[in-house]
Amino acid sequence: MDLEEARHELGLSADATPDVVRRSYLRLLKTRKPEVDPEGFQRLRGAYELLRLAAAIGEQAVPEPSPPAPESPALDPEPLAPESPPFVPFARPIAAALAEQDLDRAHTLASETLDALLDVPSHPVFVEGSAMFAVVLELWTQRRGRDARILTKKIRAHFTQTGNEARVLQGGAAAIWAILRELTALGKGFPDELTAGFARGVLEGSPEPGYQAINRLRKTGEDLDPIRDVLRERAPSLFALYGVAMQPPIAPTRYQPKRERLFRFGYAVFIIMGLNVFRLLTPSSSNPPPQAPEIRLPNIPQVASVVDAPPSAPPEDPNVFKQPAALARGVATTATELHENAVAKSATTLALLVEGGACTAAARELATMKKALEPVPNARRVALAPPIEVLRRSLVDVCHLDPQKVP
Amino acid sequence: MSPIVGIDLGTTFSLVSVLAGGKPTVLPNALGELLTASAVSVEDDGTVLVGAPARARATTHPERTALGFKRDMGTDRVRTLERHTFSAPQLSALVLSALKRDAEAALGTKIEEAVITVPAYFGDLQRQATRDAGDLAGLKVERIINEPTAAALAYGLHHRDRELKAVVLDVGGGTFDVTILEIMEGVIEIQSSAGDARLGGDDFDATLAELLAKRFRDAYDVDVTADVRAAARVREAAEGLKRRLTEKERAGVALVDLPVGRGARSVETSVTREEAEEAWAPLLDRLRAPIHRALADAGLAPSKIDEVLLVGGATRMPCIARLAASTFGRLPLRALPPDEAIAMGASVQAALKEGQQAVEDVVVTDVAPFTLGIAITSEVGGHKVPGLFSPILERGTVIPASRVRRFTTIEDRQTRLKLEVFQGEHALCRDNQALGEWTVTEIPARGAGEEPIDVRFTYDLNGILEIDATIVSNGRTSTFVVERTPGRMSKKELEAARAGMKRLKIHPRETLPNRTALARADALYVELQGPARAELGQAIAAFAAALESQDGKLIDEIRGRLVSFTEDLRKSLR
Repeated sequence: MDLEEARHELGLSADATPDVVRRSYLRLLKTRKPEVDPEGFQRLRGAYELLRLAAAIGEQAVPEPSPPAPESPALDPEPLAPESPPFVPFARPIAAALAEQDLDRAHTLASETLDALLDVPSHPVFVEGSAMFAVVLELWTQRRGRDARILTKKIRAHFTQTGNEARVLQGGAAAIWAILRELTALGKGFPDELTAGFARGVLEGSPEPGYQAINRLRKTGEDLDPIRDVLRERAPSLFALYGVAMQPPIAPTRYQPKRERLFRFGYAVFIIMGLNVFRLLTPSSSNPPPQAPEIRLPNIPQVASVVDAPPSAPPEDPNVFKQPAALARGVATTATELHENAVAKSATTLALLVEGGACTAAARELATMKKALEPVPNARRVALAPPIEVLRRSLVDVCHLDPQKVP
Repeated sequence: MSPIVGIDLGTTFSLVSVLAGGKPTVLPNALGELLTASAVSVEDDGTVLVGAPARARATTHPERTALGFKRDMGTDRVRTLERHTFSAPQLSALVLSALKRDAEAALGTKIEEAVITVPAYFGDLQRQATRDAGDLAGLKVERIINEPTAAALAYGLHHRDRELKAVVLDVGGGTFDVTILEIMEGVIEIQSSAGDARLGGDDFDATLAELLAKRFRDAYDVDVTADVRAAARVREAAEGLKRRLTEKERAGVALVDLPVGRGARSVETSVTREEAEEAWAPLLDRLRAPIHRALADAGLAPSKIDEVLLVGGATRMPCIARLAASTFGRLPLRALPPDEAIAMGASVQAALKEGQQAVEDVVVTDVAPFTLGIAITSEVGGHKVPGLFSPILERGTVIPASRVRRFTTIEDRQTRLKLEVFQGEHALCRDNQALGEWTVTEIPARGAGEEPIDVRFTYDLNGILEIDATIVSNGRTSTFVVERTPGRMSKKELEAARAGMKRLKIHPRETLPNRTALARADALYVELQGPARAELGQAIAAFAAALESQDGKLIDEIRGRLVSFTEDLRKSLR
């Protein structure tokens, strides 16, 4: 059903206001009671919901179904937004702007609604769930850390209160959420510029802005070591992505890393997911192009192809062991936060082993850790498995192990 | 044509109602009362008692009496009362048959069809169990509707010429439901529904009983929870205390000869409303979350609500009214008798179903109270993560509705796809409730992600889910109705249970007032001591003698005396 057909169903012209649409729907209901005429009712309801959606997001944004996809879900519009609540329309345009990589527009839209949002009690606000993540990221890029923290807390409280997890924390959204929480955990002392860069990176689906921010910071002569430590301790995922770039001494080629190198880290996936998640939130997701698989958890990129990287050069000095050790500590921190004590203990042991250069023992410990990971519930495993994978690769690299033999 | 009745099958009380002359009317039971206790008790000779006499026996014969079995609907819990073993649907069926007999007596016609209400948060399993109960009681269940929707209907019927947004807070014996509705152009539109399936007046009683038990432990060093009889009496006392605290600031409890350990102790204490509300604070907190969820689902701020309607007996508690008032910033209404609103709404729905003229212009639309979806496996960071929940039909969708989502295979040359159906709001399937599973076969073997499959969920007005899956490339469709769920009775089991019901000896309806008067007097006798006890004993003996005489007039007279004497004594006890 397209807009024209929907209007016809309700006997309306193109200039009908939302109120006219609603009254017309209610009047027609009497001739198509759900009780008596379920099919007629569903058609009427479908038309009404489509028109209501169109009104909520601005008509041009409603996708006309493309002819080659007659079986696509657009035939059956999902009710994307409940009845004109005060804050529903805002998140969608932001998400749309983000998907089009029009950051300026997203920025403006987000700023306009933010202040209103922050004043309102948590319950009616976050109707649209994960689109809110975009707003928080936007806040970080604007260096409004306090607001971002408050909003993150509210979202979290909202999850607990409404049981909306299923709608929001799927696949990529879960990853974004993990990043958001890490950004929040960085604390007030962490340079705003870096946080902003990281947030922008997630929004853009590329790690570059983060690297640029690191570069700028380096030029000011800032000592990156303590910053790195904070990152390692509180934000293991971000550390895995950016830790190398912050490691002294930095050869010019190292802090202008190539994409290939980035992709060695499983974390790139988190960031790339960002874009895809937001794309899913945009109106066009209800009508995907026919070749796009609608699900298998929606449109998460195949990362297997990019994670494989050529083996790196052999390590020159004992300092190389610092990286896997740091990664292991990162895993330990995450695991402790998640109350997965077995994994945390194993990770700490591994950090000590690899720091002392005990490669074989470390590899054995990795096997133990993987075993400890098995009974961990999926939700938490999603947060732990990727960092452990990064750790494994780092260990294989540093210790010149045969990748086939390391679990 | 025999009318369709509306039945509120409650946790503590049940009612039956019909729409007569355009007005919902609750029908009285054999005792002339509108509320029939949802209680079943078995006597020494195996006779089954249902309603008030059964409830009165909860303190004197706790091991032979079943209460609160609505909470067991959809589970496989069975209770053994004397020589009979009953499942929750069977116990509910006994209550339904009693209501059916009462309605038949009141209307003078046979009753064969009914609309039965269930809490909005009843899942598929519990709805099916309710249907089974109706079936066992010899009632064709025309429609299962949500209790808050029924309350909204009863309310909306009188206000259909207005335009307003209202919230219905229904605190029943065992469940709590919130419904937000909008009335416009004569259409009653349910906007959202939320609730807590395990929070109701009974929980307030239980909390108060715990408080009493603690008091008695501290003051008398007795454990009143050790003996089931003592525990039942404390529980009963807590319920009475709760009622009295709705009117008074302070109320006392005195329990005589409570069986504890080898001896018996008499204990007493008093509780202020403030102390009780302090103990209830966690329960009151739990009422908040569903209210906020319903508002969020409807996309409304509390200030947009025009009217707040309280239904369910527990909303008589001042603390609940206060919570409602502070949340919505307006005085809550009790426009309908709180105990009867749901049954009245059920009778409106029954009339709609019948197509009665009085409700010709009424239209009501309802929403799905929970999200339905399937389990999927997703690839995250190069790992395949199974057991994720993918919603297909989201809660709040106006029903009847049909929604489709496309899924793909995840392995190369995958030819089978398991559809595991869940209901719930959590991201992981294991936190949601499994409804059933089914396998799509003969998918053409191709690469991972290359074979799309459309899964369509169709949810009807009764909350019954039908699923069909279409392999997009060849158009092959298979259909499946969720009913083969665990805990559901099979046709054969239903048959056997129905036969079992027929064999039961049910206490005759005509002499139920006598039996009730005796059971109530018995229950009070246990609580008394001294001259009052002796006097009641004499009254009971006199009534027993009258029963022996088989003189109807004499029996009625003496019973009248016993009943009023019992009531007076009970009043003086407080």
